[in-house]
Amino acid sequence: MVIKMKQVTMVEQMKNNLETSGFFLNCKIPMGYRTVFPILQIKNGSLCITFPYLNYQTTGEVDKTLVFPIKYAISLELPTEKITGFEDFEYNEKFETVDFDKPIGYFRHDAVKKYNRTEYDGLYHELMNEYDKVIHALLEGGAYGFSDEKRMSELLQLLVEPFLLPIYQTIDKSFYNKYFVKG
Amino acid sequence: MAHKISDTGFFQRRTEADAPRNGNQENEKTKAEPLKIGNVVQTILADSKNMLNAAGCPSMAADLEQLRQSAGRERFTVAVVGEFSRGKSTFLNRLLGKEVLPEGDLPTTAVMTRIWYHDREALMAFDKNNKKVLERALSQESWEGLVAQNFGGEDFQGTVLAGVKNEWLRDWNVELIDTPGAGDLSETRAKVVGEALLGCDGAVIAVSATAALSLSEKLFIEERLTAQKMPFLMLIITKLDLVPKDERAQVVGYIANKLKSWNMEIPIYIPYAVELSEDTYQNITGMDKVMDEIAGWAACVEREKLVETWLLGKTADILKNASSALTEKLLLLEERDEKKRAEQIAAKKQQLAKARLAWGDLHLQMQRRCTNCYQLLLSQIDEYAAKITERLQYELSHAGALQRWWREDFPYRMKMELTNMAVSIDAAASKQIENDVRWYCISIEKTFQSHVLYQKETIVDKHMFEDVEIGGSVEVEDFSKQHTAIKIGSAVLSVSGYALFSAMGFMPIIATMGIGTGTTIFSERFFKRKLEEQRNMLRDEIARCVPILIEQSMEDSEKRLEAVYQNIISEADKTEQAWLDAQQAAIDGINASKSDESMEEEKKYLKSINEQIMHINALLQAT
Repeated sequence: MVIKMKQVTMVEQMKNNLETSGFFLNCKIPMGYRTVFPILQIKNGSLCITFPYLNYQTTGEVDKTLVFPIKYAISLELPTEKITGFEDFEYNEKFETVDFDKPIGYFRHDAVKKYNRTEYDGLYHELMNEYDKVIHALLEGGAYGFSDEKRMSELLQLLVEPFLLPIYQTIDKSFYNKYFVKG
Repeated sequence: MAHKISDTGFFQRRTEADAPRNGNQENEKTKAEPLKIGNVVQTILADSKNMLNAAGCPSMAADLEQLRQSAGRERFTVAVVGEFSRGKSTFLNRLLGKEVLPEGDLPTTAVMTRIWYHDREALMAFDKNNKKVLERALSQESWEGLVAQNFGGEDFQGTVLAGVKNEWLRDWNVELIDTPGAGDLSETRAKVVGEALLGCDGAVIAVSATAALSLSEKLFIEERLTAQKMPFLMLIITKLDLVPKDERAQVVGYIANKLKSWNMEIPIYIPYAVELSEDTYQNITGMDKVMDEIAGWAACVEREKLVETWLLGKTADILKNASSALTEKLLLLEERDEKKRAEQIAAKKQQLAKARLAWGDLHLQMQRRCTNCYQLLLSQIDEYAAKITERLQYELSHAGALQRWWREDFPYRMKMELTNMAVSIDAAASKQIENDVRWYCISIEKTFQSHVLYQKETIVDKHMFEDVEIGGSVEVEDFSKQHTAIKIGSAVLSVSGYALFSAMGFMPIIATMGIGTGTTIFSERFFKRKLEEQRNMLRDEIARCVPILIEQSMEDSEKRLEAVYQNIISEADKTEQAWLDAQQAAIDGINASKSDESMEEEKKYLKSINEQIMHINALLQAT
């Protein structure tokens, strides 16, 4: 039997590095929180990646896992992966109306219900590859054309839970406008 | 070293809609034309003025004319505002390229100084009645008697006009206004700022890098500028050279972030070329950038629209007062019997006098409500203080390393608690104020058919706790090292006991165990007692310092609350005066020998005024 090893993308590797770092262990993100699709930003001329963290709570029912608002975000500067920011949105004025203890929707949302586990994983992996392409293009001048941008936008619009979009928009308007605004 | 990205705008969605509207972008280098009010608005103003004159309201017609004239002023007016000693005059001198205005460490500007382009450089002062009281050649000495006295003398009251031969002023048709410091204690000088801002097209907010963006500055920007819908705003950072070079960029970043966190989209500029540790802010540094931004404002096409909307709103207000007064007048005229009519007029005058008293009473009640609101806040604060103390004492009772908890966890937890408290109290205060404003509006509307506008203000601000010093003066000793030392000591004692007793021929093991266990029990008891003492001491310290910290942080809240209520009351004052004047004029203007025809005419005027109000409202809704 041949076991096919899953290829780990650069972004996934960064996430793994982050979550096994001393900083992550000490930054008191409660257990049960996990990262969702990251946000890419250019701050002071440097490329940064922000991993948002939120809480999922299983209910025992299929497609009824409760999703809570994004509460934490950790930013890394690339390519050094130096941690440049940690934020608890509960203490951010922009999120003062958000009740972080109240679920805002279910996983999986309607648009992805039609996919089985393998298909969903495939799309997820494809999106991670698109992230890698952007990073590669910006850091090393790699290829990233209109078709890539379009595909990344499609995948993000499909996979990100729609009820999380206002939070993505608040975290970074530019990334939101580029990839989540249709048309 | 950070890897710099060449395409910094990669994540910007480059659509036409996102294109910059105005500001320091490429401005068309055309001279700012005198403001042209559109034909529709011009016609409305002229018609309204004629209607008011015909209806026997000449004073209101004159008010309207004054409005039209102030809106149609020739120059683009920019006021330079900020708290005192923020370098406003210095900034203007640098912009003009010469020492026009006096500068100093103490508040120097006592009057509103208007700076225009003039071929002949001169200084003119006008008193409160707009009468020219002096004219001097422009020099630093010519300001004598016009700057703030600060040492007991009386300030000059009026306006100073400085004619300066400056090409930029001429080319862009800009008028600059230097104002006294906003945080000045003198009420007269504070009033001057309000007057200067009235009818300004834009404002430059001067903020010192050495004391950047205090809460009162935030309040000033919110109340006087953003709430008043000032069309164009920019913030300049002065005195950046007084900050150590490697901290300058941080100060600029701090100001930018602070504005962002307050949801204020105000462009920032550094007017003087200072050396910064990084070149990120090059595109906002330099007087030329500031001048370009102002020029961009002056050439902005939206400027006319903004002024027109403002004009229409003000015209509608004047017409509403006239309509209300005319209705009263007609009711009186309908009475045919001379004697009865005279009685009714006397009764109306009495009613008006009563109305003045009623208005005063409403103001007093509103002030009482302000006190009640503050009392409510105080009682809530007391409750919070008790809860916070209880929570922190509970956490303390479970903390293992007391020193660490006191030094690291306590300040953090305290800040979090204070922040949460601020949010809750602010929400409660806002609710209370909204209730009071609603009551005030209903009462006024019932009696006087007017209304008061209220803009939400923040009473207790989360940010006010950022500078609170937490930690107290209590020093907590760390016992853990001593504890370990004692443990080692008891082990050493046991070993030496073993050696000693075995040499003496006694039962060494039992003796060693006895010494070891005894020392351990003794030391454990000792440390437990010490820890308990420390815990009690900290518990007392928490109970002592939590209310103090809360009190310190809430110091400004009373003043802020008073300011909010005072704003509402003074807004009503303006409406009151206009309403009362209109009513008085209507009663005074009743001619006892009015014929039926003239009454019909009055009715016609009233009808046309009401139609005009509807027309303006429709236009305002459309815009």
